[in-house]
Amino acid sequence: MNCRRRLSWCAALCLLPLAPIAARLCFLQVFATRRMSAMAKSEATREQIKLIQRGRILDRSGKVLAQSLPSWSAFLDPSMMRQSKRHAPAIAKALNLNPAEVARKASGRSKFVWLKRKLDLAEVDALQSLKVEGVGVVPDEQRYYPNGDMARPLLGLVGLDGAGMAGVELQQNKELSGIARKVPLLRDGAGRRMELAPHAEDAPVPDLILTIDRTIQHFAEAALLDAVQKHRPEKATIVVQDPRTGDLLALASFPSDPLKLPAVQDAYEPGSTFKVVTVAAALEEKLARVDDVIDAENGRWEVSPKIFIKDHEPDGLLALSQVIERSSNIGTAKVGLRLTPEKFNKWARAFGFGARTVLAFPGETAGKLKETGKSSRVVLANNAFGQGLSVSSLQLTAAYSALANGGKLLEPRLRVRQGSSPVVVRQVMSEQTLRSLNAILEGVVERGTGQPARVPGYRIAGKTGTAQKIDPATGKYSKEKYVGSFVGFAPASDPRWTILVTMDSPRVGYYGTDVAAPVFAKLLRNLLGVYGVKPDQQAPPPDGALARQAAEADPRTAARP
Amino acid sequence: MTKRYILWGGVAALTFLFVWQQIQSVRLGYEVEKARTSIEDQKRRNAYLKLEIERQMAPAEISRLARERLKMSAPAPGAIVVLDTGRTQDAAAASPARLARWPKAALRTTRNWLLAARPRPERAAP
Repeated sequence: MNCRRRLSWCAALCLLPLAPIAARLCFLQVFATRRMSAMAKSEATREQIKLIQRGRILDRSGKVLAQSLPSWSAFLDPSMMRQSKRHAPAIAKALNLNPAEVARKASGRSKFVWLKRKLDLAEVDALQSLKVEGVGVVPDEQRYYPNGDMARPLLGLVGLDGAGMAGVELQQNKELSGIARKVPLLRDGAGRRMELAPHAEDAPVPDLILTIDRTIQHFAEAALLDAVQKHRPEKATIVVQDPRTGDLLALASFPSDPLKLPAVQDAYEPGSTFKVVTVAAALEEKLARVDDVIDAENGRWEVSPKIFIKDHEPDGLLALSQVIERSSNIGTAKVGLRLTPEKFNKWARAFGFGARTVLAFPGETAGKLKETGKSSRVVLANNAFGQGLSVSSLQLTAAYSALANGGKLLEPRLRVRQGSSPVVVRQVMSEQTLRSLNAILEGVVERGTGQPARVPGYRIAGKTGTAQKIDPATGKYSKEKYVGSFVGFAPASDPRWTILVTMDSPRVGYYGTDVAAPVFAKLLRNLLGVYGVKPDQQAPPPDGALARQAAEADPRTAARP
Repeated sequence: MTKRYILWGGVAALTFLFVWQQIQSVRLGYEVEKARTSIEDQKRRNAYLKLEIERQMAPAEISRLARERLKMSAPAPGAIVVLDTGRTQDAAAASPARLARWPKAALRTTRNWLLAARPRPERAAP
């Protein structure tokens, strides 16, 4: 055997033990490749959840009303967490939690416990810097309302899972909802991560633009808050609508509850603000004329045996316009009785009462009109001055907007859509009736019960209302609880805003004249100033007001006593 | 013989090139991922800062600052005089851009007024 052959044998002998390894490698690489690849992949790859944020809600000028931002939620796996007692205080400090609560969660038997939901960036940084095994964070989102409580009853709220629970958030939940997407990541032994299939950035959820004007909403809420402090009502609302388009510009409510929007969801007996509908119906049906004289019976009239209608002030003979200006229940009841229940209902429905609007807001009320079959003389007389039926603030505002815009009942709009024009539901009344009614409503503010709603220099049309409320305990009208309201539009020469103010069960004062009309005037003054609306005629400055202001503004004289 | 060395050398170089390219690819992948994470983090912080701006620009907040810090008050009834500029009221007043400028303009005017009203150091008498 020569040397070369011996060396070959030696080499073969040395390599022989490697043969099974080679065979095994060959088997793994060739025959078990799929299974092994899958195993390797499952070891090295992870899935990360990426959230496309819930859409923003903007006002008509693009200001943010609601917005979602990335957030995180921290979880704990007690089985992985060693020395839980040692780490609990540090975790509690990082997350602003009670150490005892963290310790209790860490000693539990469950494999997954939420430590805290909706963390902010600082809390995440603090938690991650601890590097505690068994504690992790997952992406989440948090809904923010940068204007605080502004318009919250309208906007509503979202739950912990990010779904709308009330208000616009619920109504438009489908369009606003974000998307959670799983992204595969490659993770190496050192814990470094890399996206396996880089992709183009996801398009954000489109913004929802409301017709609400943040500035008007602010003024409405400020005026409402002042009135609430003064009159201490149980509930109060302000609705501002653009009568030219039907756009809702502000919906202010007290109390500010994200779960409840009283202006749309609550029905109430409107009282005298409804008298306009009765008079409009009588004028249109040619059953009354503006110069008709009606006997107001010195404030007390027996409409039916032993059933009396009373006025707040005793009046004798009144022209139809004076009946509205002085808000005579008796006069309006007499006008109403010229109609049949069918005709009364037809006209009430023509103004949009007794049916929901197209807003389809969650929980929207339709209000209630008496069924014509059940209507008696007393019911019709009561309905004529706005008792015994119920409406929503939204319906009443829309009805007065129809008076302001030439008799067209418009669909109220809450959402701005590109290229959409106002939708006319119907032409409610003739031009002639409209002119008469608007003159009467201007008279209410100039000479009648609506005088506190006056803003010097501007023509304003409106109507006060003071409605008795049903006492749930007795089922009869309460002598203590009223809804005071004022609804009107301005400037009457070219209406820009229809404004309704309601004060439900105020504890100080209760007449619409006292509790609602001044709020209307205050809000309107702000709007006229901010929007630079030219007065109809130059108003004289209030006594000494300008001089006083100028003196206060002048630093040379400000410090003087 | 030389040809064989060249061949093996070439194969070795190609192998090294392939391995180097693979390593660089992974390294750059991690760097890209790090940059992406950093961008996302910056975007997140930017979104929070924008939210803070929105909070500060909220009408209620501006109103509070004007009242408490700048000692401003709402104009008395009748104190606002609207001048006829010849422009239509809708176009001039109700445009979103004008409304958006309004709080800033109010703050700017107030600041200028305060600066003008600030007492200046008196010069020593000659």
